[in-house]
Order: sequence, then structure tokens, then C-alpha cells
Amino acid sequence: MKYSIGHVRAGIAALLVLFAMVSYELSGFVQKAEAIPAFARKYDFKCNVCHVPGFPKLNDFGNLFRDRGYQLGSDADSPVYEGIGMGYWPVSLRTTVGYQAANVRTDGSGVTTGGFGFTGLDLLSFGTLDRNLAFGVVFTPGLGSAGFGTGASDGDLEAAFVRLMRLERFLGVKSASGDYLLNLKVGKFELDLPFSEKRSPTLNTTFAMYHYMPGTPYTATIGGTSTSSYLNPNTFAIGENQPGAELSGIKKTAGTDGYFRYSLSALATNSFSGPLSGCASGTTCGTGGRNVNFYGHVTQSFGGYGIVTGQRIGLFGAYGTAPTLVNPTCPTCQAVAGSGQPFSRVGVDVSLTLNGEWNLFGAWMWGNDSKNMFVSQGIADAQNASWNGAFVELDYAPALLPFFEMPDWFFAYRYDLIRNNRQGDPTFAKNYNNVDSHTVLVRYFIHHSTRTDLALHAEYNSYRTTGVGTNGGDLLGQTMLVGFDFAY
Amino acid sequence: MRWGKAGWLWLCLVSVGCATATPQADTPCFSCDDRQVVRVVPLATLRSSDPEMRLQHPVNLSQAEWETVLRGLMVRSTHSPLLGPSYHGVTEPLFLDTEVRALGSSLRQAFEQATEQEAVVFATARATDEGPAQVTSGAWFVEGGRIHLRLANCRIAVSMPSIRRQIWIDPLFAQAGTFYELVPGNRQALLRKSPAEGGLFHPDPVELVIDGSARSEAAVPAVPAAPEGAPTVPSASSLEGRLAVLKRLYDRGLITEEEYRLKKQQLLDRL
Repeated sequence: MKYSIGHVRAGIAALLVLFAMVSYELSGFVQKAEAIPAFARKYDFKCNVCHVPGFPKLNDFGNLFRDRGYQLGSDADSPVYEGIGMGYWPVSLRTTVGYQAANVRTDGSGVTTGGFGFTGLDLLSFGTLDRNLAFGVVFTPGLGSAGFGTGASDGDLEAAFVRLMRLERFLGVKSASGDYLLNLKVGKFELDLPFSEKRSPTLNTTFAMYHYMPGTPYTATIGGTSTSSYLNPNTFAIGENQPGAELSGIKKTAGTDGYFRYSLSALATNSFSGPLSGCASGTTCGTGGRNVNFYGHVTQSFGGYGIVTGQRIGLFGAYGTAPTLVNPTCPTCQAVAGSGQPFSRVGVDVSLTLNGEWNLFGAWMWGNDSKNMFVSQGIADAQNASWNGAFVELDYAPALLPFFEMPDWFFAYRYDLIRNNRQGDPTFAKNYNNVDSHTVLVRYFIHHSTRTDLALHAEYNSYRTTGVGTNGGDLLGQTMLVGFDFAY
Repeated sequence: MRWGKAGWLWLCLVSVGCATATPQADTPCFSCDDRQVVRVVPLATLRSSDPEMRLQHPVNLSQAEWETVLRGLMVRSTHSPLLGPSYHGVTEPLFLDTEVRALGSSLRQAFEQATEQEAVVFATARATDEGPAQVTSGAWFVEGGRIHLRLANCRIAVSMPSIRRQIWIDPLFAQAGTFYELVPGNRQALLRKSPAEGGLFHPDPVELVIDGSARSEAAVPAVPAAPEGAPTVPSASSLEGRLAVLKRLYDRGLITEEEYRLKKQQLLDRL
């Protein structure tokens, strides 16, 4: 059996057909995703040692490697290990090039756009400074035509952290091999989400519940579509990288042949982002504060890690306060520091696997924002805003594609859902800003080595956001992305 | 765009992309489990039909003879850094003793049944004390009175069950990530295949031709180990490989006895 030029040619031909058929639409927001070929170079591993074929989703081994502070437990973990000295440069880059299209319609009118371009650029560096001392930096440079030409992006350190591993040894606790019971991460990082968004194979579609804010229409910015909204001073989203400190640990549990994991983060955002006074009416002035938010996540797996083998259940939640004090010099602006009002999130997650090829996973989350957030915005008769968010995703990474006996394919479908129970502004309908989003994708992993990855990626998303149009109509959106996803 | 159109697009993508694949036929299997597989397959999977090809079957090598052949196979790690010159690790046996015994037995059985138009494919997974299993796979056949080994994968790290299954189904499918090359010994020669036989994005399998008389001789690498002064690395992440490297350093006088004992104990403590 051979999978050679003919197969690759056929795969390329298929995507060219897809390219040709996608002649309309555009948009968006393209989420950042991570793959770190520097580790492949460091350990002489090809990418699918740590990733499900068709990166960036981590497999069980890759998740354990991350949980253990980017360490295998061998001498090669050391950045000064003689065997890697000549071949290792701990920096990787990642982007996607191709064609993106979108169509957004509401209130009887719509916008259709499409074009070639690139998503953005991640410059990543992860690794160890020494045994049990890990670090991570992700730099996203400012680009004039990011998001396939839909707008400029700001340069920033998307992540920057140091991670101290196995601190339990200083408490006199000797952990078993492979157990890392007490680890401290400080800096800015992705929270220990039920399922990482940065390593999700969906490149063009965010997890709705990770970013949802009551009052802010889902994908309201796409195509400049006019939408209605009400002000919400809360800017905390678990899907955004957060500055703070995180305690975490992982322990193999012999009774379940799985792993127990926990993480607890204390997060503080000095979110001053503009002038406190003098801003024009209707514009966003600075928001700020010293509010401390908390996030936690515990999981227990059975018969494996729970992503490729075994099953996993989890519980997560967040609690914090958002600044709500109206800026005295700019009453129409959003809130500034002081008089924080609470918000909370709590949810469960489940991951099921079958045959090492199927992974069905999902999460449900309940969110609540205090009514005082909306009172501070001058909303009459404001009330607590509460909502439910959920998603379920089915991934299929066959060893060989049935009937065709071809390796290196990856398929996924995800359904994202938002259901509002109560709006912060009671004049809005209960189902205002409800979301239904369907995403399907196919990836063909055409090249992977210990140096580089290249995948053909095709993704389609269709969503409906209820009642967010100016005239009360639904927002109907579709996005399509076909391109080459590569990392070096 | 409606859902129907989108569905058609995906169907198109999959069906066109898979149009030229070849199904895997069911074939006899010897000693097949999670650690090892040895199976007889049609030789056509390795060779196009060649009227001059004359195979000498049945191949009646004893298990001891197969073990001698297996022990004679040597490899060394290769490294091509982004900066600086390429370099090699030390030359070492391809298979461990346990693998030699298991494979020797299976190969003997398989070749007793294989016909002239068949080859014997194999795959073996080696657990390591750290990191994922190392998988070696390929095919054996006899041609022109010589034993041929087509090595598709050599000690590649495999953590995904689906990838291992992929190799178990087709041991000749070369994965990326091989950092070892065969080192031909006495009565052995490397035979490079034409580029057309490899994939566009996949490495070409390497073929080693072994003279039949090598079955009774202990192999001696024809190519010396890494030159003096060249950087060497433990070419296996296994404990056994590390101990061998450590012993070699001590024998060469590059480390003191105290250093040797200390490091050896550190390695053994990890057991």
C-alpha cells in the first residue's frame, strides 16, 4: 500500500475544487492556535507524538508533557543538554494562509466578503530554563492586514509566564515519578479551560461560551452589521489569556488508571485602556481597577488521560468582580475602578474517547452577572443577567480513513449554544443574543516532520444570534476558511 | 449558502481526496500483538513485476540463523541541526536481544510459509523508560539469493494508538521522524530506491541487502562509529542505550571511574 504523490495530488485537487467553489463571503475573527515545533526539534519527535494528527490539538502524551512543565523526565529536558545543543532553537512560528469568506445578514440586509490572506502570526517559545523550571512566551506582532485583510492587529505578548514545578518537594512531600503535585505559574497565560481553545483544530470559530458577554451581541463586529446592545462593564472572559498566578497539579490515580488534575488561578487585570476623561461622548474611556478574579478546574480521568484514550470528567468555575464605578468626568463612558460587582461562572465538562480515534467532548457553563453592573450603566430596572452556555464537539482522527485506507485525516464537528435566562436590561427579550453555531472542518496533514508541520484546512461555520439586529431581526452568519496551516 | 451546499462540499473534498487509495488485504499474521507484528504480504507491495526476479523459496533459515542476521543489523542516529554541520551518534545494534529472539522466531515461521511472490512485513514497539514507545517497521524478502530488508521506520517515537495502528496495518508506510540510518556491515550493502517509490512528503524507505552467508556470521560494522571529536549523543533514549554510551566513555578514558559509577547509579536509580 502506498500513500504517495497520487494521494497528495488528489488531496490538493480536492481543496482546489473547494477553493473554486468558495467565491463569496468573508469575515473575521480568527482565533490563535498553538503548535510548537521547537519541542519536536528538541526531542527529535515528529509532531504527532504530542498532537493528534493534524495539529494543534494535543493528544494524551502532549497534554501530560504540558502538565509536567514541558518535561519528559529525561536529561534531554535540560536546555543545556549536550545532545540537543546543536539542533535546538526554542522558537516556533505559526500562521495560516489561504482564503476566507463570510456572509452576514440581519434585518433584511447583509454583507458578503472574501479574500486571500493570512490569519495573523504567533511567535512562540516554550520550554525549560532548568529542570522543573518552565517558561512560555507568545508574541503576536502588530500586523496591518491580519484576519485575511479584515483589519489590523495589535502587537502584544499574548502569553508570558514562568512555571515552577514540583514545589511539593519544599514541603517535604516526595511525589511519585510522573506526578507533579504543586506547580506555580506566574504571568499571563491561557486558563486551564475544559478544552483548550488555543489548541483547538477549529481555526475560524471561537468557543462561544468562553467569550460570551450578556448585552454584547455575539460576533456583532463582523461585516459592520448594525446591531443592538446594552452596556455591560464586565470584560472577563475565561477564553481570554489572563494575567495572574496559577497553582496546579497532576497525579496518576492507580484506582482509575487515569489522572487527577487541578488548577486554581488568581487573576488580576490592570485594565486601564484609555483616558479617564475628555473622551468623546459614546466612546470608550479607560476601564480599570484592581479586582481579583478566581478560576478553578478539576478533572479526573479513567483508563487514560481522556483525550485519546479513556474518559474524563471535570468541574470548573470562576468568581470575580468587575469595576462598575461610573467615570465622574465622563459619565457616558464605561466604568472605572472601584465598587466592583460580582460575576460567577460554573460548569462541568466531559470527554469520551473510542478506539483512540474518536473523541466526543463538551462542556456546560452557567453564568451570572450582578445587576449592579447594569445599574452602573444607567439601565433602569436592571436585573441580574444569567445565561447558559454549552458546546459539544466530535473529533475523528482515523488511523486510516475507512474504505480509502488513507492516514492523516482529521474531521470535527462542533455545536456551540448560548441560552439567556435573564437579561441585564429587562427591556430586551429573554432570548435576545441566544446563539446557535455549527462548525465542521476537515484537515489533511500533508506534511509533518521533526522540523515542520503543514496541513490543509477547510472549515465552515454557520451561526444564528437571536434578535440582535437593530430592528429585532436575527443575525445570520456563515464563514468559510480554506488554507494551509503551518508551523515551523 | 445553505447546508445542503456545504454538505456537498465536504463530500467532494473527501471523495476526491481519497480517490486513489488502495485497500489493505487481509494476510496471515505471526506473533501479532501490541508489541510486535509479523505478517506475510504479496511481494508486489514492494516490487513491481520483474520477469527476471528469481526468488529462492522456501527460505529455511533456522531461528538461530535469523537471530544472527538480526543481530548483525546496526544503526546510528543522525542529526541535522538548523545551524552547524550534521553529525552522527554511535553505531549500535538495531534490535535488543529480546526483540531479536521474538522476531527471529516469527520470521522463521513466516518465511516457512511465504511464497516467492510474498514478503514478510514486521513492526515492533520498544517501550522506553521516558517518553513514548519507539517503533521500527519494514519488510523482509529474498531476492537473487540475498535477504533484503526494507526499513520504513526506525525507532520513531509513537504515542498515538492510531499511529501505531496505522503502522501495524501497513508497516511499510514511512512516517516522518526517523533519526537513525542503517550502517551496513560485512556482507551487507545499502540499496537506495528511486525517488518515485517514496512519497512526496514521506521519506523513501531504505533497503539493506544481506548476503545469505551473513546468517552464520557475526556482523561487524563496515562504517566506523562517530569520528573522534565529533559530538555524539545517546542515540537511544532507552536506559540500555545510555548505559552503553556511558560504558564507552569510560572505556575510552573520557570519564573517571568515579564519574562512571556515579552516573551509572543515577541511571539505574530511575528503574
